[in-house]
Amino acid sequence: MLTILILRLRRRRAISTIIGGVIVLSLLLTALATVVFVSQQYDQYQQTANKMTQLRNQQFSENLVINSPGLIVVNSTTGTISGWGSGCGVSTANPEYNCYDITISNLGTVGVLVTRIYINSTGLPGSGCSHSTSSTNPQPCIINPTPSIAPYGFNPANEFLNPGETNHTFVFALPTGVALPDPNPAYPQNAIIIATSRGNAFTFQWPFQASVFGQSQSAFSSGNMRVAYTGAKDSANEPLGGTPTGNGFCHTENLQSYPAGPGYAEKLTGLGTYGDSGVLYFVNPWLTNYILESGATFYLYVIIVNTGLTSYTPSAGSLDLTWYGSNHIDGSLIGDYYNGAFYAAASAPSIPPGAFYYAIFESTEVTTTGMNGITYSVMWWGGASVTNGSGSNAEGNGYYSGTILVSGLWIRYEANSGSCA
Amino acid sequence: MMIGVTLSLGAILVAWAGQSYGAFGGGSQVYFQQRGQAIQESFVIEEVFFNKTANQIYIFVRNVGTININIVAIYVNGTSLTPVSMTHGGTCLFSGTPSTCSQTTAPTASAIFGVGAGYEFAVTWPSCSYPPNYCPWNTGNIFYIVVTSLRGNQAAYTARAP
Repeated sequence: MLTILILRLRRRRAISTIIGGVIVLSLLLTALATVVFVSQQYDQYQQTANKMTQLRNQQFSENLVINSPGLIVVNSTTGTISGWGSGCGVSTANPEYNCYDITISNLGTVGVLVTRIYINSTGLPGSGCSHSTSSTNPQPCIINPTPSIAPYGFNPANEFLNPGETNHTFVFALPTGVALPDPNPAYPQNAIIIATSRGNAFTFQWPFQASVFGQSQSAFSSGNMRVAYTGAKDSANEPLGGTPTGNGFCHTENLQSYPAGPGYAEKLTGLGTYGDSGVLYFVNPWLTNYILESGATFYLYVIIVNTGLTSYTPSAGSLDLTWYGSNHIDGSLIGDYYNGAFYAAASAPSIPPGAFYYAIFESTEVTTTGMNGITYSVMWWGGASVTNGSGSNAEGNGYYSGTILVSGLWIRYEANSGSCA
Repeated sequence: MMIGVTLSLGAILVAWAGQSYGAFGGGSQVYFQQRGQAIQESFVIEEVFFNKTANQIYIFVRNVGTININIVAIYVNGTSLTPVSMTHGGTCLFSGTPSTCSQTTAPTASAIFGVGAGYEFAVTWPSCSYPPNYCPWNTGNIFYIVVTSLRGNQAAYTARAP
């Protein structure tokens, strides 16, 4: 009897064990299924996150730069842009559009799709792509890709830039009533915003101001190069004339006396025998303007900062502007403009460390009208009394010299039209 | 009897665990789906333009994400403004032509913005009395503009009035 009872009890415990095991197993399987399900969801989410991170990285890898000269008027004789349409060009009999080629480079590591171009102009209402009060032009120029030529459209065949592609050109069209750069106000500026499909916006100013960057051992030059003219050009009136004379210098900038702000023409006085009764009006050479005219006396100044540890006297110097081809002009340092006063080269002041002055160069050998792209220029400045901290000449024969890189200076050479470029 | 009790308790436990795990899994699914959609959403303000005559601010928004978005609010200096016009590719998303585009419905109802598309919103800066020198804006006033989507993402842009 006892044996039978024990066997029955053992059998019942086995059943309970099996039932308990099934329950535990069910719980474990349910938990496992949930974990697997959640893991799958998380995996999908992580894949999406990785994909978006990749897109972000691509977005950060975009890098567009605009190339000189930025925008060029499409001067087509037929007015036809292959694959896009006709009506472009200033030389056609009845141009329907003002067309421009814009040249940009993709310095990034990913291809870039240009989706839209915005152009904001600083100008009088209704001029250029300005913030106009006119109902016909109530906002900046918004240029979208269009399958065929149309106002405020660009050619979609050019909208993609390969990684590392340079000097990529695409054409866009504006109505004939919208011309860039607009001659009003005095110094036209257009902010060009290139929007890409990844959400980046690359902004450029056009036209460019000609800037100079140069460095020697003890001096550094920087800033916007300014030029002035006498002779064939009326230095006294030309910058303010508002009406182009001669060969279409449209330097109608607003004027400020020394020290002028960026973008203003600058009046320097007390220049002795130079200029008009000792006055020169220096203007900013925009890249679409001529800066040379045959027969004119050409003046140029650059801002030199003494970055050395000792004072020096810039009592002499020379200039050699070289541009595309074999053309170049030479000039010499006529003096220094320092603290609002002019000093002839022979009586140049001592420039202490950290101070700056204008090195004014003069050239009378300009035989070419226009400018076909200055590639570089070389100038030196200095004096026999230059010494460094140990009492010897700081550089060679006591002259500070350097290659002044004229940043992006590419002057578009145009026929003599007598009108603002 | 004990076996019956054990089976009952076991069934209850399995049912409870299944329900709990199911709720957890379902919640996770919704969470990850929403989060996944939110991170796929990306839009930028490409340009802001001030039309002082019309007392309007034009805001150009582009969807650069991988899914459609729904713009629900535009804030200018902390003030929620309803667009008076909304256009895409020259087409008014409200009633009327672009030149007479006027608001008839709130943009939240059907403003689904496709991938890659750019849209222009025009908001009127109210001629209010607070702060006085901002109504309408004075030259140099700083505007902080925020565009918000239904999924909670924002695109911000700071601009100085011309």
